[in-house]
Amino acid sequence: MKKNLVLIFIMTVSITLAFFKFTYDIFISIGFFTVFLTSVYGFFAYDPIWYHKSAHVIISSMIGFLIGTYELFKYLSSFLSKVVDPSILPSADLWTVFFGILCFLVMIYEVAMLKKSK
Amino acid sequence: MAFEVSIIGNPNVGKTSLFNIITGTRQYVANWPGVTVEKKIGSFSYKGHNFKLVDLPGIYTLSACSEDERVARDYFLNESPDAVIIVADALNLERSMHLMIQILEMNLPAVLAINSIDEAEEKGRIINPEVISKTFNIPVVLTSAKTMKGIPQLLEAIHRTSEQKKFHDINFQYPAEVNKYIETFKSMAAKYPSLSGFDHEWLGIYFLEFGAGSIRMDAELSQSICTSFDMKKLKDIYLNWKYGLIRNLTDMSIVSLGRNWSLRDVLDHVLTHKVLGLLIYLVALFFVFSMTFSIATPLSDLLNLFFSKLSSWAGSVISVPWLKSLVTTGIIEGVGGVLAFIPQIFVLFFFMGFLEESGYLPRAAFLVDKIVRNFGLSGRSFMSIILGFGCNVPAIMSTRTISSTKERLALLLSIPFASCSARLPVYIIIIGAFFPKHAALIMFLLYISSILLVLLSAKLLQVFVTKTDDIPFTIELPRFRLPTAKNLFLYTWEKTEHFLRKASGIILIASILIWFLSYFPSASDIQNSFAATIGRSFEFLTRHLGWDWHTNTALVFGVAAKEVIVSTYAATLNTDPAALKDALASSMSPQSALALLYFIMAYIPCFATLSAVKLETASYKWTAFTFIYTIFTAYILANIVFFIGGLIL
Repeated sequence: MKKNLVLIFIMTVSITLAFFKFTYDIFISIGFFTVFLTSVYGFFAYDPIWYHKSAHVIISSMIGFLIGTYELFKYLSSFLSKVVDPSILPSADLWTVFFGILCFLVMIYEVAMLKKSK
Repeated sequence: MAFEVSIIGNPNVGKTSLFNIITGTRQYVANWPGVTVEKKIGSFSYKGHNFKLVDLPGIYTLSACSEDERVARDYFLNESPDAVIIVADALNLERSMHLMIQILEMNLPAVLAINSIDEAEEKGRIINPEVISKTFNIPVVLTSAKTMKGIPQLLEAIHRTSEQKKFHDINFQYPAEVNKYIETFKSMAAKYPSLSGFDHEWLGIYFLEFGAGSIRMDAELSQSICTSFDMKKLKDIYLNWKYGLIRNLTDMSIVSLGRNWSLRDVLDHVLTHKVLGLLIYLVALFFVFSMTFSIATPLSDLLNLFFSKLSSWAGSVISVPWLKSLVTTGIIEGVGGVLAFIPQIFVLFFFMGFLEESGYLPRAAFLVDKIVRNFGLSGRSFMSIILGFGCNVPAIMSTRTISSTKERLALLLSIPFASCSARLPVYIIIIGAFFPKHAALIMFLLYISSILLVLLSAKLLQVFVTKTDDIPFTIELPRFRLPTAKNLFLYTWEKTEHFLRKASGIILIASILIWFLSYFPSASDIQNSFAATIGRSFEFLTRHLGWDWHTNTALVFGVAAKEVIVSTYAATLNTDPAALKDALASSMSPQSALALLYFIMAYIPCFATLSAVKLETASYKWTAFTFIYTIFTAYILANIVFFIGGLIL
């Protein structure tokens, strides 16, 4: 039940962000779409393997975390760009970064739970 | 005294890691099978003795079906090593034992190193080396290349075995039918002087296990053996005996206390999914290119700025006009324009290295196996293509692990289309000049197109040039490992160092040559320079694509090394590195630039790659074919892209 809620949460946020970030950065948008698909598979697809849902939670949150990392690195490197071109204003998409942090926490939690359960 | 020791084992069990530890060298290691395709030699000293250590390719059997297996088998047949280190995987001991028994059947002085013992212990697996040691009468050492556990004991075992050249002295208790066959074989083989150099018992077993095709033997002998015995039934008896022995031995020597699942199983559940797995792999590649642009480009811009300032400073202190032009345009802007891409090279290979070292790459090969099979290749071929992203030369050499000679030929002639790192600076400068907003996407599409081109080319070659047999693809997915920072930086540094060596060698020479051709005969009028004349002579072929003499000259010199294209642009457009993108952007349309990118992706490989093709095919015909074939394909591709680009851009 708890895993289903996590998957629904990841699904909803990722598809929303995939839609809104399409014009912002195509990689971020495609990445979020992949997160969405991974969680959808985890939620709907039937698989008798006991760790099926956990696996989908871990992988989708891992991709979400990577997207967040990418956005953060992009933001930090834009400070270097400012040295060459002072007109550049470093900015980051906070939603992407927050979602990345959240995904990281979900991933750590899920791995810990998995190790504890069996 | 000098001893010769060889190191053998299944792929990806850590042979090369042990080799590096023992010899103190830095041979390339990776977390995927088939990295070592030829024997590598190192040396070390221990207790006053000199040792020559031979690292053999990772193989599963000595059947000699593929080139790497043949290298290993022929080494044991033709050389007489003082000791053989058999490296086994502590987490997959049963599989490693098949090869070990084959080595012992050759009656070689062996030492068994059970590697990755740290990982086995983490999973609660306890191995009793005494059981194996007593059964086969060989030294058995538990090692970990990661934690250096067991290395002193291994060195001592190598030393003792080499000194005594101690054979294991064991008589395998084969089933009665097999014994009868061996005795008959021995008496028959004794009549053939050509077989006098072989141990007839081993030859009989080898013939039984792998058949006549695996070793050159008198046709008359093999025919009379096959008529005297039901070889198929006998082989089954022999293999059942062998599997039984291995099973009993592992049951007695291994105790498992840990859980029966691992995080690897959990990750693989999604990462090897036929749809999601592929999508995630594409996203991973896209992530690598996006990081390459977002992190490295600002650093690259800083380097460009540095070289521009250096060029201005050098220009202000040198008064002799030709020398000033040589130093600023020829050397600083020519070589500096290329060196400015070091951050991109570093970042790209850091992340590519992560994918390789973590064990993700073979999973990609597994996922695309079904797709690439439509092109007459197997998933194994896909790993060679990915390896070609770094450099085409090792990628061509890695095709030695492909058993089908026809598939191998088709692949190695197509690998030059795999987009190697030398093309990266050229892509970055052109993409940065024409498509700055979608840089990572264009780069990603180029790499995907490059993979598709290799596949299409292999298919085409198999239809028109060669025909191939369908060989099933089997791959052992390595364990997921978090790469160590040391390994990752070593991997990245090796790639970057290769680039730096090129910059101080061939790129520097080419830059000076290009400067000479651009400066003479008239220093003030580049339009009438030798370089312009060379470029103009190809304009009739490229005018409709929107490429003028600058581009043509750059492409001509790019044959030496692709990075030289950037140096040539810097010299012929007469601009400093920081302004190169702007100068380039005003020299052609985005449509022409897109066609140019695809032309560069496909046209003539560098000299080193052509040499590798010659070496691997042992044919000037195929080398000449590669030269003509790649330029012809690139030209057609550029025209197609130009046409399609006209509809989109």
